Amino acid sequence: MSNQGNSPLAQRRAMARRVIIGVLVLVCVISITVYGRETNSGALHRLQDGAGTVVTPIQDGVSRAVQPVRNAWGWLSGLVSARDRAAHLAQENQLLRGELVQLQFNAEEGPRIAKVAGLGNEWRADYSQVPATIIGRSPSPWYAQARIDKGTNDGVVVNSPVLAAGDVGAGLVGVITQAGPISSVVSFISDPQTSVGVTIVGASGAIGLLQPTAPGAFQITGIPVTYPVATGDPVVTAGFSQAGLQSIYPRGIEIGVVQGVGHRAVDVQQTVQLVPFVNTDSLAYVVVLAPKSALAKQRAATP
Amino acid sequence: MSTTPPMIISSAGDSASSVRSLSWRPRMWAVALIVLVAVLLQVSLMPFIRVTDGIPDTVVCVIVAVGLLRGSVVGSVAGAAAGMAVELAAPGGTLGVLALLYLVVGWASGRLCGRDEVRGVLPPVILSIIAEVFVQLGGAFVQLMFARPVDVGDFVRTVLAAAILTALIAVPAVSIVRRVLGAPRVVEPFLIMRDG
Repeated sequence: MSNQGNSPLAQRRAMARRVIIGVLVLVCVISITVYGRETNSGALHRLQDGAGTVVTPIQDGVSRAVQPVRNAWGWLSGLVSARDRAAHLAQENQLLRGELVQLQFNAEEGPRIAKVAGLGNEWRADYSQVPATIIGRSPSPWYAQARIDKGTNDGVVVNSPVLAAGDVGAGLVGVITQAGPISSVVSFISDPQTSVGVTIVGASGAIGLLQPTAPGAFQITGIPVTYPVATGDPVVTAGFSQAGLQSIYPRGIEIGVVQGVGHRAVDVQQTVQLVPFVNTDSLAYVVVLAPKSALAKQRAATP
Repeated sequence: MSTTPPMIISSAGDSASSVRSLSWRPRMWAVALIVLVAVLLQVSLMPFIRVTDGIPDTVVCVIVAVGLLRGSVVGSVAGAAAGMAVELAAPGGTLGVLALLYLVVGWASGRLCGRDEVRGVLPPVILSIIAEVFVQLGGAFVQLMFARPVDVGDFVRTVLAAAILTALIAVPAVSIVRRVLGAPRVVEPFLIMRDG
C-alpha cells in the first residue's frame, strides 16, 4: 500500500515485497519437503533437536512462571467435571485397582516368569526411574508430544518408556522419541504415530495392538473373538509386538482397563476399547524409565 | 470502501523521514519481542489450556495484529519467524508448515493495514478467528498430504474449540499489541527506499 502511486520507487517497493515474501515461501516449502523426506537423523531434525536444547532453559523458566496458571486451569477444568466429588473415590479405586492388576498379573504370569528370565514385572529392576517436568507441549492438535527437562545426561535415551500418575492410577503414557543432552521429546500413546503391543490380563493373555482412535479414546486390535475379554479387564504392555518381535516396552506396565468389547457375527477379531489410567492432556510431571540393565538397553535399541 | 492511507516508513532522503525512522526502529524490536513472548506462551502455557483438543492460538492473534499495524512485509516476516520458532521450540510438527501458514496470515492481515474497516476491537478478533480456522485447515491438509488419517468429526470439534478459545484471547492480545506498536504504519522494504 503506497501513497506514491505508480512511481518507479513504488514499483521497486512492490517488487521487493514480492521477493521477500517469495523467498520466505520458498524457504518454508523447501523445509516441509526436506523434513518430510529425511529420517530422524536428518539435518533439519538435528536442527530441531539442537534448537530444543538451546531453548530448554528458557522454556523451563517460562514453564515454571506459568505453572500457577496451568494449575488454576487444571483445577477449573477439574471442577467442571466434578473432579472434587470423585477425588475420594478415585483415590480408593486407584489403590484397589493397582492391587487387583498386580494380583491378576502375578497369578497369570508367575509360572512363566519363574521359567523365563527377563520377562514379567521384573522391569522395575531393569530401569532407573527419572522424574521429569513437562516444559513444553506441541501446540498442534495433530501431535500428542511434549518436551521434558531431562535428557541423555540423565540417562534418558530414545525409546525409553514414560510413565505418569493420573487420577485413577499410574501407568504408561508414552515413549521418548527424541533425546538431547538436557531435554527430550515424549510421544504420548495418544499420538497417532504411536502404537503399543498390549496384553489383556484375565483374557487368557490375549495380545493386541493399542492405538489411539480419537482424542482420549483408544482401541486394541488383533484380539480374536475366541478370547474372553470383559469390560474392566486390566491392560498391560505385552513386551513384544503382534509379530512376536521384541517391543521397546517391557512386559507388565499398566496402561488402563477395557471400557467396551464388541464384534459383528462375521468378524474374526473383536473391537476392544480402552480407557487409560492417565489422561495426558493435563500432565505436568512424568517418570522416564532409563535403561539400566543390558536387556533394557537392548529393548531401547529396538528399531 | 473508504481507506485512510497509512504512514509509510522511510529511512532515506530528507530529515523528516530520518526523524520518523528514529521513531519506528525501536518499535521493530518491539515487534520481535511481542512475537517472542507469544511463541513462548504458545509452547509453554497454551497447550495446557485445552478444550476438546482445541488450543488457543496466541501467535495467530499477535501476527494478525502485527500485520494490521505494520503491513504485509512485517506481517509475513513475523509470521514466518514465529511459525519457525514454534516448530523449533515445541515438539511435533513438520518444520515449515506453521511458518508457511502464519506467513500467509501475516501477509493477508498486512494487506488490510490502516484501513478504517479494521479499526476497533471486533475486526481483529474476527480476523483472528478466520486465521485460526485457516491454520487448522492447513494443518489438516498437511496431515492428509502425509497420508495420516483425519477424523472429520474430531477435526470440526477441535477447530470450533480452538476458534472460540482464540477469540477469547484475541481481545487482550490485540489490545496489548496495539498499545505497544501504536498507530498503523506500513513498513516498506527500507533498502529499496534508501536507493530511491
